[in-house]
Amino acid sequence: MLLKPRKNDYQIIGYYSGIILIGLGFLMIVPFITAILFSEWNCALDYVIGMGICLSTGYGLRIACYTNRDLHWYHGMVVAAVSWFLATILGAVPYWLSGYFNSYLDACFDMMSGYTTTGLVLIQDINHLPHSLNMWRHILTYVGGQGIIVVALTFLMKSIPGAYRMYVGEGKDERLLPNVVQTARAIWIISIAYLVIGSLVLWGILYYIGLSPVRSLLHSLWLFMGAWSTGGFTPQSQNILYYHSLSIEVITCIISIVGSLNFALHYVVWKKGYKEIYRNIETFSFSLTVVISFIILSMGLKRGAIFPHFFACFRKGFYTIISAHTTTGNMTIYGRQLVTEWGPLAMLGIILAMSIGGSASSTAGGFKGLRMGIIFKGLFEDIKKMINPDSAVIIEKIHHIKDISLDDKLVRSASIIVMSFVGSYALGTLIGTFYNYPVLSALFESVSAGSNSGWTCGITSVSMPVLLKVVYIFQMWVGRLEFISIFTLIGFLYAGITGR
Amino acid sequence: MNLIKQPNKITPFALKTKRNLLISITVIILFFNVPITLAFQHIVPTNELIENAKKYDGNEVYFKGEVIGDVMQQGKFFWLNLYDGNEAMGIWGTIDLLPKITYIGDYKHKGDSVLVKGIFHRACSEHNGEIDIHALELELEEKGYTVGHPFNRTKLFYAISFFTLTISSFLYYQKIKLVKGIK
Repeated sequence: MLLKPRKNDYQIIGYYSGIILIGLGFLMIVPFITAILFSEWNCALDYVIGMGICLSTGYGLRIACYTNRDLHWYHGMVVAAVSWFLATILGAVPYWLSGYFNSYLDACFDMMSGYTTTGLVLIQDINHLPHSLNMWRHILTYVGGQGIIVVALTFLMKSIPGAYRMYVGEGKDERLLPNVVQTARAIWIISIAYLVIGSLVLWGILYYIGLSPVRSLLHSLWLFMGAWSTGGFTPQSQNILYYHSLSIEVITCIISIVGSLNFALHYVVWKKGYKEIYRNIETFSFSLTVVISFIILSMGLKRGAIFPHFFACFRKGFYTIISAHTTTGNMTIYGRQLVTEWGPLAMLGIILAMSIGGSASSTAGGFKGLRMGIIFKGLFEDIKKMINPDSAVIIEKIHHIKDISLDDKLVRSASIIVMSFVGSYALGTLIGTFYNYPVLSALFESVSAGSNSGWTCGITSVSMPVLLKVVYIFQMWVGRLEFISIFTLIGFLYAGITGR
Repeated sequence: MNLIKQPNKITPFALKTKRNLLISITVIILFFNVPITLAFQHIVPTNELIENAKKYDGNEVYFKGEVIGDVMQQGKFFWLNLYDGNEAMGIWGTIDLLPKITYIGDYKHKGDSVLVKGIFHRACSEHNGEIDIHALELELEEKGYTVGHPFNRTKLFYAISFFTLTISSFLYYQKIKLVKGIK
């Protein structure tokens, strides 16, 4: 028997969702200042309007839904799901006002793509965007990579027991520090430290290859944000290909890999040294699956005989696999080349890489390497149990920050999430095929959206059917939040209708 | 009635008109320096190059687009990206080929339009697999211009309205906090 949610439940959800919207409103100060600095006056007004809508809605929710009750687990999950949804709808206002989107749905698509660090875009005329709009696009991915609830916890909330439940609702469960607010702040310190170092390096390279000092500074920030958050947004339509620079590719590749690592791993490496990198199951799983997907891709490229020599093939192929596996989506080729030149085998290698994705509690998407490691270890454990005597006690362990014994509950929860991802990929493929896109292309684009990778083989465009845009938005949303909070929201709404 | 069709006769007037037309065209070409070798060639758009890269690989192509972003000068060579409305393409060449570019396409400018004759590579061996065009000739086709963005008073009205609403909400929220003792 389902219990109908009470008024208190709605109040809690509204009250804590309000604070997320307030955080979003304050975030718009960054592109607003950018617009003022570059005399983009109409754009500045767009952000004032956007801020006004987000802040007044946020404060309105805080006033109307005031409560001093703490969050239960399901409140935390529902707040995570609802606040991401509201942030997408309201955060799209400056996008829509800019005039670079054909419809409000397209603006919401790009918002969700930015927050979820996917990187698929429907924005028009990207080569002529104002600096403030590029700043908004890129800062969304930077914040989305950390998590908008993490932002609220860092800057706007005190520590309450329910804060951890919201944090988990956003697809993270690593506690770097005993207190979740301290954990959120540690995540931000790590991110900002890397931002400073990475941007300085990129600034130097961009200036060296011929960009002006101001443009190289802006592009360095944006490229870092796009790579670190594994979002893949760039300020030009050709993506990384625009720069024609091996150095930029190497640095963005490194930043993507670092950004796709678990924040807990960063913290341990910072505090205790590098040994954890070699012992951690996620880094081992990531390395193994990079090699496997690169072999598949290389076989496809060799068959196509596209590249004139090994280094050219390695440069393009390896960058593609790292970009796909970290779910960044930075591209050094045109999306259509995947279909017209690289061929189905290479595309399957990229699909494999995207679907697995990066590390848990990182900016990356996909199944996560940790779950792949758990599932395969679970399989080995079952095989060992079968081939050993019944009386033998088989205990498998994994090392993730600390040694963890593998139990059925762990394997089951990993399997449920992986199955949910597979279901999401299947849904997008089905809808894409329904609209007569080739099956492999539909699968490619669906996996890209569902794993928050952002690679496109040409399907994602303004002329895409509306239902497909909606499905991809849904896939990006559920993929980023790793399903549980969305399932909880659906259950909450169902209980609201049918509960007693 | 004459039922026999007379052959067409070229009158002296028609001959004179034709001759004048030819002279006019020649004068225009010489005076305005219209590059007849580039201007009348088939310009291949980016999506054609990308979709049929194998067909065009290693061949001479004519490509036209707006200069966007940056002209990246790297010693004796340059990279620039030309956008033709579909996608942008990277153009590489020696500095001596570069025309004087005044406007580069961005938010406030429509970039100069440049016509390039060059060799297309679907995976350039010199540039480690890049898809690019190595320029043989570059011609400034059309000068760019500054793009105006007139100030939008309607947006200003809404901005002031929402700003006022935000301040009111914030102040009321602070009052509620004081009344209810929220920290």
